[in-house]
Amino acid sequence: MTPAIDLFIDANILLLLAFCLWRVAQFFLQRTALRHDHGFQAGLLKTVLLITLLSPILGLGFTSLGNYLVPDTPTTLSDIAVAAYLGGSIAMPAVDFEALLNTRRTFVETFSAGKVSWAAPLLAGFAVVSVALTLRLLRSALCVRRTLADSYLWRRTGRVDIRLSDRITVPFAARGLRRRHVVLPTCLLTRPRDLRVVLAHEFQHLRAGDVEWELALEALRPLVFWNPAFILWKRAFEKLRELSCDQRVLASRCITPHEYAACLLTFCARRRTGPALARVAFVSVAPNTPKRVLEHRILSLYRLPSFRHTRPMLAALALVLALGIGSIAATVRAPGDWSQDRLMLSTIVNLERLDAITRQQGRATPASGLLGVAPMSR
Amino acid sequence: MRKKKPAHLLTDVELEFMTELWVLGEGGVRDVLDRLPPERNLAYTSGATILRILDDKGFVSSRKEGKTLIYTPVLEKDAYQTRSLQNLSRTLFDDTPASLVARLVDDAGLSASDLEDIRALVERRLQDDGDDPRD
Repeated sequence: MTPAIDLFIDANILLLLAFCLWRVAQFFLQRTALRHDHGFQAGLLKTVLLITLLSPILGLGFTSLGNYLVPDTPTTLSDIAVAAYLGGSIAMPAVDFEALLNTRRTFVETFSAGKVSWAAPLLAGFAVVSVALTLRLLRSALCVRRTLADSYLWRRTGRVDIRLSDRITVPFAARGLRRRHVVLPTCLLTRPRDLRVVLAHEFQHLRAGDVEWELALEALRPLVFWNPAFILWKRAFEKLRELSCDQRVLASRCITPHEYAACLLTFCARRRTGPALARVAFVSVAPNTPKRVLEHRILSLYRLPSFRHTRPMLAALALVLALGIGSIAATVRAPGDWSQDRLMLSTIVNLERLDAITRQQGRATPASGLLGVAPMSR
Repeated sequence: MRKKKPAHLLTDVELEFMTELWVLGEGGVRDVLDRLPPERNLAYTSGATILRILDDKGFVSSRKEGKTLIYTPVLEKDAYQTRSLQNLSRTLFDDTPASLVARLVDDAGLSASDLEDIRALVERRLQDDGDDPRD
């Protein structure tokens, strides 16, 4: 069980730190010409999420590369701290320092052995919420599947089916194992102008792979629901996804911002009264916070980005963030086998303990004389 | 062959098409579209889709005449009115038709003549029930 808990802790720390890195990048982006380019920001967010998902592999790569380039150099945070301690950069008793270093290991061992009374209820609570979220996800999937089954096929273009449904008031995009679907309320057929806007919007979601991203993030939720970074990241993703989609549709210049805004307002009103079904809906904002987000969306329709050649910039920024996340993944890992430095620290700890014992017994024997018989503390 | 998906009630736009078909008796897509107000400005393909959905739901049947599909209502207007009212009574008035009528009489701004007609209808129904040999 201990390796699983270790992995879980690593993943959550990484998620939190990667989110902080992304926020820093966002902070600087907001001070550049790219602040209105939501497509760029959504692309960066997806890239960082992807890098974070791949970070265990990146971390291993960084460790191997570090060992190859500068052998015998500590790579994990714990080993770096031990080296700093032995180098005299950290001034504190060795026993306390070792206890601090072993905090995580002690916690994991105590927790997995069930030595604390709150471990079992916490684990049970986590399992209950996780199962509930998984069931909610399955129910959502079944609901979408039922809606698809009850809908009527209207058009078929490539791998995409356009379907009509009486059961929904707000259009949405979804996907099955093989085909992707755009589901529209039947009544939309009688409003050709809205129909054009909605189709352009939903096809843009499919082109951007938003459905797949949404499914992946929702599948992760039961495991990381308690991590604030996941919740904040998901919220940012939903917002940027819609803003980016709006801008990309308007960039084709077939639809005016005014037409688009009118359609958006219509479906926002419908979403408030209609059933909340879709995972990727035309209006994906939460029903209780629409006003601020809606205002932002409508304002951004009239503020299309002027900065066009963003791919090299995105690649450069993604590389910097990948380096950052990869090095974090390498450093937050639990330390491996006993290194020379850790053996040294353990020896100092044992000497300190023996020294304390001999002082208590009133015998002022120099601790260094006992080096050969002292058992190593782990 | 397309799989039929029987449905109980019509959506607003389907009801609009069915109303025209009830008047026409039968007709093609163009016939129905021609009867809609000009401001509806519906595309032919949209009209064809709506009629195809009505066919799938079992409200109309279709037959081919040359290259055109001719649609005929399967359900009569009276039957749909009854079904629609039963649904309203069940969903909004807790399956008590008396509440539905009470609400209608209270709020619909009925004239004395309307009320007299309703009274006559109810009395006729009571009379019929009283004469029913099964009772």
